[in-house]
Amino acid sequence: MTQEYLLQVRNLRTSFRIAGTYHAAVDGVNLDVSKNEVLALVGESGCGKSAMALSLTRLHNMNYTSIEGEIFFNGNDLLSMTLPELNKVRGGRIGMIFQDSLTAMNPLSRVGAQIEEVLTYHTQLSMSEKKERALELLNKVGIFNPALTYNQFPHELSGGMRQRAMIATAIACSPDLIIADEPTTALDVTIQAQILDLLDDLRMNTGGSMILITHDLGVVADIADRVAVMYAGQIVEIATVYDLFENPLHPYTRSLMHSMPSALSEEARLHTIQGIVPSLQNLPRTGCRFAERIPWHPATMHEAEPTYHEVTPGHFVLCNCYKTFNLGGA
Amino acid sequence: MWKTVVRRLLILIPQLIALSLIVFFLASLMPGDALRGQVEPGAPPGELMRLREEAGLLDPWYQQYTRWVSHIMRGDFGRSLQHRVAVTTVIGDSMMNTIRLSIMTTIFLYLIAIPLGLIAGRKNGKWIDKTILMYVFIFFSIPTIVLSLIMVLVFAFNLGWFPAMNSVNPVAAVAGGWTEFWSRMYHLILPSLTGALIGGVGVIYFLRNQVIDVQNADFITTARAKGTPEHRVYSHHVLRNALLPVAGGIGASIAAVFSGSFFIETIFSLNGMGTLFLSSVLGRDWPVAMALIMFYAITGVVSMLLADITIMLVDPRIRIK
Repeated sequence: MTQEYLLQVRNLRTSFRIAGTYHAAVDGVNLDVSKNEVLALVGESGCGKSAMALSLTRLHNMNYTSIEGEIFFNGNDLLSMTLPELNKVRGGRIGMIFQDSLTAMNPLSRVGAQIEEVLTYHTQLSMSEKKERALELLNKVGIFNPALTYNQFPHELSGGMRQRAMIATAIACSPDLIIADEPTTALDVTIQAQILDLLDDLRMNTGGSMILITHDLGVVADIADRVAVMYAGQIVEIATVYDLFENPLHPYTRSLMHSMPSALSEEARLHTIQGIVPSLQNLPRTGCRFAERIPWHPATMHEAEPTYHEVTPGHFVLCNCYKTFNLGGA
Repeated sequence: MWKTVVRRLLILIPQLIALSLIVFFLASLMPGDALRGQVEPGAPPGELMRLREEAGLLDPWYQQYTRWVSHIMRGDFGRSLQHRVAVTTVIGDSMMNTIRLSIMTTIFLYLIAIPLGLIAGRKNGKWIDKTILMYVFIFFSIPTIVLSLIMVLVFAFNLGWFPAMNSVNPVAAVAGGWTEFWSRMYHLILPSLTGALIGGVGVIYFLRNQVIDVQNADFITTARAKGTPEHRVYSHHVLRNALLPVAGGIGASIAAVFSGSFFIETIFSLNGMGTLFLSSVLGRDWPVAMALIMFYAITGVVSMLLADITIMLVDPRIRIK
């Protein structure tokens, strides 16, 4: 393992059991995250972003999930660890932030206790030290009255405050990697920017990496270093933020960007991508998975077994169809 | 909170008045009275009528009702027509027996139901869950009377571990003090266990489904993402959240066991309120029956109030104004 990568995902395949058979929601993903890097994972709902994020620390219900492949974190394979070993990494080295902070916090525990819990498992701090640290964290994430919030229950806080408390929990042990699964989706637009700024500041101060899952391309442009675009369980394009916005290649990436509403546009109608992400059972497992949503594009332009093409250094795109694709039919 | 308690208890007053009116009226429609069986065969023909008039049974029901209410206001529940002693004396003994039985049953019930419900939910679909579900379905369908007889046969008659009947050993009752207390507890084990085994199945099934629900909740994923050890995920995060609705049911189940189980009391020869209520209705002993109905109504309302207070104490999202 090379030392510069914090996280190396190799051929990750996460499958869910539906009516007796396993269907892959994450289908052969390879991904590297360097130290101090922010990687954004973009895609529509149902394309496997969250399934992949939860797979990284094996948070799926293993009764009906199978996770194959390798996930090297600091050189150790998370998928072959025992649960107690993995529990040292969860919360300690990898912090998670979820989308809906109301359902993601235990409704019966006070905010302070929920932050202290993570300290209990990963540090040797005494009760009073933990409290001190929790108050300090609440202050750090921009909560005005930490002493009050410490004793409040999740339902007594606003959405933005709760998300801040979640962030405080995630960064409590100064993790090497923060996985933020749509951290701003459930928030008001004004709060979204604050939370993103906060995340970025905290990450820069502590010097960790972050995987940011979102379907908001605006968010990506702001704080990500690299972007991976996911479609139907695969990464269809991966590039630096600059390259991706300057030169989007894959038909899916281009369609996504084309669907972003723009204040400058004269057109009255918003652009959409035809159809929907196919469900797991109906997903074609051969050929280019995006082909059916761009029917005007000749079928012969797709590869039968799509492979990655490195267009410029570090800019990979899946399938040949990008060469001839035009948005005209959209 | 105290406001709520007082308000709920005040609402109880019109409820009791309405209930007693309905019961009194319905009772007046029932044929027969308590005195017919008490007249000596050789008594003069007018004797029965004379006794009825003396007891006030010939007055219209509303007059009897107002008389009954005015007596209660003075703390007098009247005299039992069957037993010819004060109602409070008749009810006193059986009430203590029922209260002791109820408390023991409730304790056994939750001691059995909470661990089984938790295990079944956690091991959902595994053999241990299937075994517990089997127990639930069997004991849900078995009549109390059959189980009581099986318990007596196996544990009292064949194994001889527990007494088969009565609420206390007469020798111990004379001795009093702790000897009497332990004797009473010992006599109550078998009947209360029987009640708990049957009464607990609903709680087990409910709790199992709660656990299955809660363990898929987002905050459980969060707990795991924090590195919470699996046993603590269950003991700390799943248990408390799954028990919330069960705590709400505690009131109802207390009310149910307090009304006494006629079958258990009969088979184990415990002189309890279930038996007393049935015999007083069959014997048209209205002073006793009315007092019991009032007692049931009060325990019902108080149990519900207790349930509300319990939920309020365990769930920070609920604060009664």
